[in-house]
Amino acid sequence: MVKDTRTIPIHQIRKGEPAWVKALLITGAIGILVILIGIPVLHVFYRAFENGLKAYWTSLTGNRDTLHSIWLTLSIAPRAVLLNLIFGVAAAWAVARFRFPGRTFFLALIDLPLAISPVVAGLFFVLLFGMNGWFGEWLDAHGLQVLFGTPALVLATSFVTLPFIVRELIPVMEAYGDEEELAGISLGASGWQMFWRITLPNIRWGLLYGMILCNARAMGEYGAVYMISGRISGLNDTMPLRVEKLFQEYDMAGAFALASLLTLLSLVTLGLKTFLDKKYPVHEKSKEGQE
Amino acid sequence: MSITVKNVSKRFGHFQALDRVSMEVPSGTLVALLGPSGSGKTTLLRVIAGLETPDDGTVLYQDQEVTSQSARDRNVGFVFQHYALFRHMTVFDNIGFGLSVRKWPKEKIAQRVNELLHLIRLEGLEGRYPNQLSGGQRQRVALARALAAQPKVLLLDEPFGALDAKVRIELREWLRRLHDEIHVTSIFVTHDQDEAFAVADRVVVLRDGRIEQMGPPTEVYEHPANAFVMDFLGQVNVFQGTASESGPQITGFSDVKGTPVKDFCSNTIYVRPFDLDIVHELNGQAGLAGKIIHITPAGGVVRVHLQDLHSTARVLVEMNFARLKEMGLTVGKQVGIVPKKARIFTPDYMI
Amino acid sequence: MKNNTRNALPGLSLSLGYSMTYLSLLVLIPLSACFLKTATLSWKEMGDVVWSQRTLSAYSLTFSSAFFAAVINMVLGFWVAWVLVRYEFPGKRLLDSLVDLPLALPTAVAGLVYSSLYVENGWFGRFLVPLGIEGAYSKFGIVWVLVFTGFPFVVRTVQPVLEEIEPEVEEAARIMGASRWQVFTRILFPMVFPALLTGFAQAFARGLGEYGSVVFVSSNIPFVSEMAPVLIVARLEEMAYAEATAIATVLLIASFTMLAMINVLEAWSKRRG
Repeated sequence: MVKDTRTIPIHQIRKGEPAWVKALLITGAIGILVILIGIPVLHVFYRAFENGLKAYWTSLTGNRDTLHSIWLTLSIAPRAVLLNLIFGVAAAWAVARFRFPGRTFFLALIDLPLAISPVVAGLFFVLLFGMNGWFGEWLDAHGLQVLFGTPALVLATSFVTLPFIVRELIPVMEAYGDEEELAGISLGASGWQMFWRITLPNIRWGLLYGMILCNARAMGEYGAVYMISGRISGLNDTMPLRVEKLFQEYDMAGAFALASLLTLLSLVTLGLKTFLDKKYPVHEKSKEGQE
Repeated sequence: MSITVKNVSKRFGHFQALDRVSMEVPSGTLVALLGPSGSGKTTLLRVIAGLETPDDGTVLYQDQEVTSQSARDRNVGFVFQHYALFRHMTVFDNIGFGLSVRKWPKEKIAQRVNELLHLIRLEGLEGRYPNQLSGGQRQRVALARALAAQPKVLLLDEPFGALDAKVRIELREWLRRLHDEIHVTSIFVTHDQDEAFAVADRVVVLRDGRIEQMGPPTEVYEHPANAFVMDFLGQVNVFQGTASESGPQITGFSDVKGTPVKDFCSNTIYVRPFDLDIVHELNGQAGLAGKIIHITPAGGVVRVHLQDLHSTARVLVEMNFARLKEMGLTVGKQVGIVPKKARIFTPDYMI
Repeated sequence: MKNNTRNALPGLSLSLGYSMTYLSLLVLIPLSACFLKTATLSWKEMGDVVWSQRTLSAYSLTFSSAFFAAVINMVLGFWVAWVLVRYEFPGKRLLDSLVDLPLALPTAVAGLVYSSLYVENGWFGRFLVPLGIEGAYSKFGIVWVLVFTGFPFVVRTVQPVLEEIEPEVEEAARIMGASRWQVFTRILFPMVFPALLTGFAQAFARGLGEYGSVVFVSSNIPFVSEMAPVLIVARLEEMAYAEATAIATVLLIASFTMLAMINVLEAWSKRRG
């Protein structure tokens, strides 16, 4: 043992792997990311713009169904985000601040939508609201169109994106602790005063972060929405569904033009996420003297 | 306003944090809750504040029962261990928070906050955020925030725990002076006996959720109720010996002036380091022969660590610097150890 | 002690009541609808659906593709996580944020672009197809697009664990005479292993349910390249609700098993950390 320590000078230990190993590993990692992710992203834009800007613009705006799908996605995603926002804040408050019987079950329930295939999730809602479903007949008798309509799209999208905001908020709330809120209460604040003036400002970046992720997933959701949309062109095709329909119709220019918008959305999401990660890392929000 | 705690108990799962605690805090006094960690002192403070509901027992403010009242309605000022300043608010907004949730008009809030900024000597820093302040400054802001709405009671949880030694001593003296000025009934939690004795009018010593002793600092120090209190208040020497009607008899020592005790079965005797003295030669005097192994200065006194030549047990003696010099004591020297005073405790308190 | 000191804060009943109601409406009731619908089938009918030749081949394609994709992801993900944690090089931050793209990119777009890249005249296809590698409308295509959709999981579970390993641990091993390879195989890899498995399980679970991307790159021919989720859709289009639900229930049970496994793995990982 003593002999061995002499063969490795201390200053070399920290240096890590030999240069050639390092170079090989770095090149490999770059290669993996470029082939798996980088080139596909570039390819979307290449295919979208290969016939020039004008063709791109026509394939986007010249098709009424395509325009409608953009509008539909833009109207559904914010509603799903809002629903999950209110739920997320409430659930995170309960989980991060209290111990109650069934808490573990509650947490598992929150995670469930992540584990369920979107197609299966879509099926759930078909079973509930379809003609043969639990509420189908009643809804039909009252002239309410839930399935194949916007309400079902919002519900299915909310289901699939349910965990995103809560899952961001719980660690943020746990990290900054309950002392500021207790201080607020002891200084005479009511529950709502405490919430608006102490809790909300403290979780705002986590909230924003969760909303961004939730929105990206909501706009891009395919499987669940596919099941319940009824796929009537121009009525309830969302952007991803429209992409598939254009693809089936061999309208590649149209499919890639629309796909480029979705890709842009995901790139913006990623940019915002990286920015927030750098600026407001969750672990730095925790107080300096943890108990 | 006086505070009365009657038979308060609190459990966390299997952990008994408080076990039928009763105490009284007279109006206008400054009381220290002293004890090792896990002794229940913080829980007791939080029960008094209303941040914790006791399983059993009552809390009274003056003559009014507040046990089931929420912290919000009790009008107490609470200073948290880690300050719990609102990090997204300026110093000004932090101090003014309690007033603004009570819907005070803006000018009056500004007036009161400025008054407090003067009191804590942080004028000019009202626009800063908590993370732009030093530890001591944060502590003072937390105190001003707690005092803003003129609470009837001020409660402080380890108020100086997170500060370095020098700032700690400055701030605790400042707290004492502040208390003398505003005379609000105050309770603070600490595990540092120096801090408790330096600041408080009364000291309450807790262990395992029970009160071991309470009283003025001098009384607690002079007459510790039991071995735990004595040991907790400072290092002690433990000797074997016997106790009789006339006083304790330490093995090796003969005639020791001690307090007479009722219970004779104890054979453990406690002697504080400054109740022992060092002489060059025993010359037949009652005492132990020892060898100096280490000398450490500690504030105004010097601690001399010795080894008993017979039993090889360690003995600690405290004396002042002048005397150490005058006697010319150095490491390695053989000397005699003689007692001035000793104290005996019944076996259930043996450590 | 901390855990129990929370009852002085307001709002438990409101927040818990609201979120429990929301969860019941959105998750519990639909979930039970699924199980109850399956229960309307007799055992024999159930067996006919769940064990029919077509269903079995769909399961086996789904499970094997998701499994291989997750295995590939373990290797690629570990590689990328290692490089991102331990080396500095220009463009590293860009690469790091690229890792998350598969989570943000709609799966339909992924499917579209992958099929376009790997067809005979596509950017990659023109080199690969002459070599006999069919990247589109083939089993390889399915696995490869699942590698894409599951890619972030392994990287993001392994990365923080690698970051937490203190250099002192490696230094200590080196001073005691271990070679670099020994440090890797006996110290670093075992430390990362539970996280690696967690990432694997997450990628696998994601692959089991994936639909949007697969439907583009697969030719979706029954018995050959029809995945379980695709089969559910097909059954539903035939208005065979109960059959669709029965297949979905099998997928659900598989997902729950994966979820339970992930939880166990995370607990293990934490205990080791």
